[in-house]
Amino acid sequence: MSLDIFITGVGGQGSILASQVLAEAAIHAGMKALLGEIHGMAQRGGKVVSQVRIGEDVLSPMVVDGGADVLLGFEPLEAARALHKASPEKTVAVVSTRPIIPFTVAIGQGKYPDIDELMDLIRGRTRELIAFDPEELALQAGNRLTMSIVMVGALHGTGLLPYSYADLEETVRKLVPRKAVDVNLRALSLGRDKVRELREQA
Amino acid sequence: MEVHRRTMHKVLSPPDKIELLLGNEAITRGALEGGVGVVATYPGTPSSEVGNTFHAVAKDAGVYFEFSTNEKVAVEVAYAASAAGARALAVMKHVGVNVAADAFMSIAYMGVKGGYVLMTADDPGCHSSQNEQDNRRYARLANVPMLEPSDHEEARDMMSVAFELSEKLDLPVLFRTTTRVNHMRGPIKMRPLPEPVRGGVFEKNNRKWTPVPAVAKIRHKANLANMERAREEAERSPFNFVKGSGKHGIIVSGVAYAYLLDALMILGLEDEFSILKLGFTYPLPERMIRSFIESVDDVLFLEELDPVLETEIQALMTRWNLVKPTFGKHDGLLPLDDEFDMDIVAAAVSHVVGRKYGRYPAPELPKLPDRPPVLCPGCPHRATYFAAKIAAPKNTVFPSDIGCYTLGIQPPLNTADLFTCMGSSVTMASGLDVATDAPVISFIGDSTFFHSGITGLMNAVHNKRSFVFVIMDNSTTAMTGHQPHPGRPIDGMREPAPPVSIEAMVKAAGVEFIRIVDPHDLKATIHAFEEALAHEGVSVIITRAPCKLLPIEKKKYRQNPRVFRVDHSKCSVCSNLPDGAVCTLEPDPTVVIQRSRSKIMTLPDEVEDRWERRKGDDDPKGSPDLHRGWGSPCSQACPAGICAQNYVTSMASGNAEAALGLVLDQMPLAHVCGTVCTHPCEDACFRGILRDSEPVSIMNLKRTAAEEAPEGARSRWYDRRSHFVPKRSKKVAVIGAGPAGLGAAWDLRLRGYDVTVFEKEEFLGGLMRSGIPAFRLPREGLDEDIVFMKEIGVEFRTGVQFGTDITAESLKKDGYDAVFLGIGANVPRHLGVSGEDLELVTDGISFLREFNLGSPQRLDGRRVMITGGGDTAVDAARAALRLGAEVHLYYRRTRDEMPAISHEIDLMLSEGVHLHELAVPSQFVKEGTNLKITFQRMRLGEPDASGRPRPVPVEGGDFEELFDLAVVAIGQHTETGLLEKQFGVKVDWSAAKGGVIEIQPDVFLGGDAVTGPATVVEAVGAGKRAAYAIDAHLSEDPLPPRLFDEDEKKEFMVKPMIMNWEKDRHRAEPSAREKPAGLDTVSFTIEEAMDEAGRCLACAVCEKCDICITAFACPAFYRDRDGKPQIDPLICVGCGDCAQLCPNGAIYEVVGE
Repeated sequence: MSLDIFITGVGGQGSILASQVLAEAAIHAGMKALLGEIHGMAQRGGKVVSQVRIGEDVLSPMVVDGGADVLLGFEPLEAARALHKASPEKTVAVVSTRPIIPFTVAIGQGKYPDIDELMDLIRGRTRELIAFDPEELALQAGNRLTMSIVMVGALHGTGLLPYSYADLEETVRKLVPRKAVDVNLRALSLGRDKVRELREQA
Repeated sequence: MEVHRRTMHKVLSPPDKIELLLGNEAITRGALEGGVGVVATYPGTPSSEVGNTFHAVAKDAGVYFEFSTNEKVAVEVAYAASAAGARALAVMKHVGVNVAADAFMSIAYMGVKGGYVLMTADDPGCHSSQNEQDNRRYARLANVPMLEPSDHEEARDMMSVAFELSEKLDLPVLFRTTTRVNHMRGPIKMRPLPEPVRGGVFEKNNRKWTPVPAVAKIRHKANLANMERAREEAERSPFNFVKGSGKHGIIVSGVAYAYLLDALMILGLEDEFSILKLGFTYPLPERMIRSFIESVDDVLFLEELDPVLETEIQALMTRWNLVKPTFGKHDGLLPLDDEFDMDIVAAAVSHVVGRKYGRYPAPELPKLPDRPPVLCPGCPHRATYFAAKIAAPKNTVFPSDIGCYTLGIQPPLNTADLFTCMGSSVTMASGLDVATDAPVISFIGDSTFFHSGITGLMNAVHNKRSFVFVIMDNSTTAMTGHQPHPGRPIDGMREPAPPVSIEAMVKAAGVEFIRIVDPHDLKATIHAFEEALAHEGVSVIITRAPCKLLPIEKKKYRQNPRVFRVDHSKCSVCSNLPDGAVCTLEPDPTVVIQRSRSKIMTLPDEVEDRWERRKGDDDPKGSPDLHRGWGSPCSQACPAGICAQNYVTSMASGNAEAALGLVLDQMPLAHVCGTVCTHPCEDACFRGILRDSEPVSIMNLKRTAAEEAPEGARSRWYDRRSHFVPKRSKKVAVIGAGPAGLGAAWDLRLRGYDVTVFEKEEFLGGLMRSGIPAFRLPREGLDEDIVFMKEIGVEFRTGVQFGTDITAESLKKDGYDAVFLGIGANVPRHLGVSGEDLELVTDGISFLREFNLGSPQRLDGRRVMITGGGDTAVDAARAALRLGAEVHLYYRRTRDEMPAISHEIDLMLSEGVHLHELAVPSQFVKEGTNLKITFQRMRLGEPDASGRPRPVPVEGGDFEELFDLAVVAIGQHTETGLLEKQFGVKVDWSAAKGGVIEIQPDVFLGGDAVTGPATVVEAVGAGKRAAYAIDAHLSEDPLPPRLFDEDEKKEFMVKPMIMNWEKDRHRAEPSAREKPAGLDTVSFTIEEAMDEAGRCLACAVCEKCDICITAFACPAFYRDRDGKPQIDPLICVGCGDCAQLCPNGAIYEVVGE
């Protein structure tokens, strides 16, 4: 068995960093993890996809269609675009509600869908949708760029990750620059607490 | 690139430690574990991180590493090191091998001394490449052993033994990865790092290292023999093994193996299959394959891209007479293109066991907008492209090259039309120059220029080609992650290095025109492009500004941030129309770019100076309303309130439909006012005020818009416009279908009223039809203008005489809430001299009416006297001429004082009308069948109220002439008698504010009736004023007036700031189109119109501007809740380009916050 996480976002949001944290923490906890990334041209403001598979028997770095246990959506439109990886039976979607308008829309090619409609789409294709604005929490933590760590914290808040919060904290300490450790740890906990809060409300 | 930490890079971690490594990092570790001593690469995704990691660790690891100029260089540098005993690695992406193939083919013959590995990173799925060529074919072409890992761990394992294998076989080893292996990340348990093998002595051997033909033949035999040994290695290689013992066979290589294991587990088919997993895939381990196939019932081949294994193994099976069913690509089960995934593999294995497998059903999604990669905020390439777009003619072709700047392919920049591979920009520019007449501007990056641009440049110079070659020097190899190149002062070892000068190389290649500009200085860059385009021969522009993502640039910005903000008092505001006026212009990047050009090319100091002065002069407090001062003179001068500036700029981009829409926004008579207008706009045009210049041909551009707008343009305009029409449940009657009535009816309809126009004649258009001859105003245009009014709901009743058939009272009874009297000024003025009532003396209005609507008698051989200086007199003279008469026009002043349109007077004279200045008839006497006319000579006296010199009779200056007919065309006045009879009131003309009088409750008088005879456009303006007055009268929430007040207007009449008048071309007249018989003038062709409209200086700010988002497309911009552009300070990197190009001058740098 493996935990398959499909991460999607926009270049510059730090989704690759989030996937590295998730995988490194697994290694730190003595598990196996594989991670699939795409580098290069896609990073220039385009959509960015990464995939993390955690488990002893994982062999390929790719999440199959309908196979994501977690859809970690850094941007609502990109989360909807990745719905072929999700299934109503098992997928928990943790999705940002803050849109980043693609320039194709800005110059009049296509229309950005209504956020509520996007959320309905995602809800209809997943077991559970957890939606909030991670950027708000990142700003609360002290730096908008910690948004990717907020998302990681939120994922831990779902209880799906097979390792402890301490493993995550340890990994964040290791991966981010020393000066940024505190703000990132704050972001991590804000993300975790947000999910708990949302679930209590639900 | 990984941030280099002070701590040891994890690739150098001690043995037994487990690290999460990217495939390319695992490969680097593998090479180090294999004792590599010399590494050379040219970066290219998906191989780049191998080089980046060596760049980070080479020094600590004791390895020599370089970023070579190109892949061929890398292969040869590494190879010579191998020849001298080093263990050497050359790394590149798949297409890089094409560049290096020349060398590699010979290396395959010559063999090695130190172990030699060429890593090719293939890209199935074209994630970052221009093709998905299958480089396993290179192993066959060169005839060298090949290793093909399935995951990051096997990649490390294979790389670590590849050097030893190479040495053992005396052959280079091809190490072939794919994107998914390069870019997967997983745990690696470290193994010991041996001392790197850096080489020693090159042992000369002319029978090995010098493949002249005789030696090559020998070495070919050696290669073949060594490959036979390689086959034995493959037979016993641990990378080739059998897994499972099911009856169905699968032969698999590469990342497909991982998908296969996943698929079999998910499907529970592990026991059904035996798998032959091949990692040492060339030469084929034939014995192993044969015994495997013999052990199974059938064989499925799983390999991405080409059916290489499948084809070769099927050939072997034929040779072995081994008949077993096979599955793969030849039978269409698996695709020949794109990368695999688990589902593709699962479907194939299911097929083999006769099961159905369906991909998990895709969700039904609405069409989601695409999100392609874009140039970063502040990217210097965007500035270069924007400048090129502004300077380049529309038909310019843009060959491009491989790098970040390939993203110029995206709209709205669209500056990559043709490219193939590294270096193709300059070579293809040569070919395009040979084969087309179009201007050519080609783009290349600095690293790509070193890689393979210089050869093409030498070729172009030597072969006398002519085009613009832009070297976009951003000081790095940006797309692949900021690797240094020969132009940088640092090398692969992170040591100081002598940079190679691009400009020196260009100069040495013989280029005469070289400009080096900072692309963030848009003005200088546009100038450079303009000069370069004018230069005959190869002209080179080096646009030099560092990539904003370079760590040093980021640091600089952090230390010295520049903050830019949008001043919304200037952004997206309109200064050409009064507040509240409706404008249906949709922002069009190609239009706005015209205005941007004018803004950029302005001397900035001049603007600042004038701006500051205005602020000081007009409003010491710096009111935000000061943008009003930037209104364009042409638009301000239009009596009908048309935004002339923007229909001109729309025409500059060839958008006739948008231009027509701007006219219709204000009035219905686009054809009429495009053809016979007195065009006060042109008198006001700032272009015309400049030294050695003439005004833009504004009126004819309007006519061209009306004629050239595509079918259905007016209806589409109303689709947009109708959204702004409020619902009113009131009816207005308009009396008179002349320009004032039509202007009022149009505006009232657009204000939401039901409008009926009553016209006493059987035709519509008033004097436009009865007075203006068809040779001046083609009737098709007039008809189209009026007929379209019906389409927006204006009703017309003809043959209804106001005062008899209907009255103000009867209209009120019929439910009309207000009445507009646009009855015109149709009563001819008389000279008041004796004999004026003779039958042979007529007036201009009657004469023209007969000419235009009746059946005029021919006047062949007759002498006709016309008197008057206005348009009616000139039209009458030209009409008489067309009836065959000899025409004499008498005017009491001189030609210079004639109020008729100057151009029309010219035409009249050129057609043969005799002009007699300073004379006026003083008596008409019938003499037989003739008319004897006595004239009074005049002289010019002191100026009168109109500012023109007063004509003063000359004592004793009488003379007589004989004529057959006289036409008195000295003006008209209103039928006041009718008004008095109808309303019993004497009209108080002095109350006519703005040309409108409410002569009794709910009854308004306007147009020529109030102002006296005026021009069509003035009458339309008067109609619009009346419409506003009626709206204000009938509604509690009237829409604002759609004209400036006179006193308001003056304030706006400020000279615009544009000073680049040196570059004016002369005003163009239509010339390409053939003039139909009997017609005075023709419109421009679209091409002529674009050229002429391009002279517009775009004086004013415009609300319909989105240039920062839609034409410049900087990702730092977003729209706020009101849809207005804003700059995201966290994304903006402070390049300041937008502040230069904003046509409204609305973006400013925040200082001191």
